[in-house]
Amino acid sequence: MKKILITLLITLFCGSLSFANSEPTTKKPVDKNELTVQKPVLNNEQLSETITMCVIKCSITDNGITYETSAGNWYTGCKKAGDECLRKLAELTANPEP
Amino acid sequence: MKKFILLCLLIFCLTGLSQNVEVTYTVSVNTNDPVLATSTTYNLWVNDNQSVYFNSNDSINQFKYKNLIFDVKKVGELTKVQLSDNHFAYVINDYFYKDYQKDTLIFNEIILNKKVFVGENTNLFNWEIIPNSETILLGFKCQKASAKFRGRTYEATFSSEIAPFGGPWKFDGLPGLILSVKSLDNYFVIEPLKVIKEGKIKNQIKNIYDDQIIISWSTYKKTFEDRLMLQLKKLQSLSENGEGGSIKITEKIEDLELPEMKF
Repeated sequence: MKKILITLLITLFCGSLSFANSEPTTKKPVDKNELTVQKPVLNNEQLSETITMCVIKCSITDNGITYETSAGNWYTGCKKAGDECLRKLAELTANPEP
Repeated sequence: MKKFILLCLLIFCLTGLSQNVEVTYTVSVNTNDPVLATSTTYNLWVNDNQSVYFNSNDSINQFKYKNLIFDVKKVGELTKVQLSDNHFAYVINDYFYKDYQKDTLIFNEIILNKKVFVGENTNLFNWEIIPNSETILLGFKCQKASAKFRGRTYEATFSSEIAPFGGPWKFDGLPGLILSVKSLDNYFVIEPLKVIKEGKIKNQIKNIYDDQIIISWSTYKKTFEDRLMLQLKKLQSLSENGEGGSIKITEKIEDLELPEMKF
């Protein structure tokens, strides 16, 4: 009877030790090479909404002469392009004498 | 005594024959861009061998839409008005001097923001008198004539009852004084308001351009073209790669035959 009890105790002790030393295996280790990013596939309409593109045309008529120009490109916002367009014409007509 | 009477008769005849005509006109320039349209009063004074034609109202009131003007500033000797965000114009201050003996016409023009003085001959038009066009204007018997001139076709009404020559602006060369002129596109319209046949202007007709440098019409056109070319280069230097620009004369009574410039 005593042997049975000792055997049982040893078994329980060993079992608890093996449980304490074991690592959780539910989380898989991250391997950077295995990372995949899902790229969104854009159609033309979505593209035009995504990329900022603004070319503004503007004009001034100064004493019968009409000056027209454009400003802006694919990375310029409309507000900035419009301001730049008017700034060019204002500078041109403010002091036309060379 | 006989000699004295003859002398008196001669003086009387010479005085009686000499003309001092005053005509007041309303002049409208119906611009392509209506906001820039003008309407103002001009005076024409003609004596035996000279005439002057000038606007009596040199204020901002000459603009038809003067109520829209929100900025007025001096640019040298000129007055510049702003009629909208992108419409600017100078107040007109015209003075046309004609000397019929020397066959010269002198007037001022503006190139960008500088006044220049231009000289031409008095007889610039190839008029064709319109048959059976007799009419009455301000009580004077008149006839009509038409001519093409620098991009427009004009129809004029003239009367030999007022004076044997003379006319407003550059118009002249008909056998009578020109009372009204209208371009067929209605861009430039001159209408008479009143005529005084015996005016008191004899000693008031002056050539105010005596001390000025007078350039020819062809020099004026070339200078205008050169200045616009410089403006185009300046606009290009202010622009980034890929940006465009153009310069075009859009409001002018006379066609200067300068094409649109662009880059």
